[in-house]
Amino acid sequence: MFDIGILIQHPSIDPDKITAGLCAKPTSMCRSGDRVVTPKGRETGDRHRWTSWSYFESDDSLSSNEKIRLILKKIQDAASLISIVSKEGGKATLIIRHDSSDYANCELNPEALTLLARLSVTVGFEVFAE
Amino acid sequence: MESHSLLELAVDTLHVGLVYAGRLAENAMHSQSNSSVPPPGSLPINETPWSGDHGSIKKQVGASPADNVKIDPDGNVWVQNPDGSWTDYGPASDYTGSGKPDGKRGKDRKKEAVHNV
Repeated sequence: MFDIGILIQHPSIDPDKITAGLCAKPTSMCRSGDRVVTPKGRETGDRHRWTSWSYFESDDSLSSNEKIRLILKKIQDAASLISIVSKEGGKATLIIRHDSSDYANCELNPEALTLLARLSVTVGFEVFAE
Repeated sequence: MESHSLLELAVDTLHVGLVYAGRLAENAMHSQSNSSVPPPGSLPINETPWSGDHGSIKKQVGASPADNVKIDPDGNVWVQNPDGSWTDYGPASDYTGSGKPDGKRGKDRKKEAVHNV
């Protein structure tokens, strides 16, 4: 099974604007300029230099292709926001991660690739299994 | 004439001193603005015992597949931003349920799963 999500990184955008634009509760989120705090509430003394916002489809009853379709729908619905992110020096990435040894498959059809290219969305693959 | 030369020499010396001081201050500021970098001895996360937690940590800190993640000698997570700057995300142990490194790669996890059946 693949882990499918969208990651937005931007030097200064308000992450609440991304939450509103993509109509999704973020899986992870940090605001540029805020203090870095670990999940256990510890301050590291550093500050976030970039805003980072991610959303991953968490419903494991869905196939990888169904997850991709849902993420692409969110990207399409938030096309104007994602275009602005790219134009302002930010980066939007469709993330496809695989971290188990089990077989998995998914595909990006030409329509999906056209949409991603039009909005300058990077496609990132990451495999943690050996 | 001689006193004039001495004056010129003093002015030149002062000028050089001021320029040098300015450069030192500039370097100090530059060094401060770039001080947040992984300390010497930091390793890519996949070369550390935290390798098995790589995906989970990346997901929690919001890093893309292309973003470098390092672990410093004190066990802190460092993530490189798209512009090349780094952010200190604190102890790797804060990003796992057990607080300890998984230490396993996918192949190891599979072996363990088969063993547990």
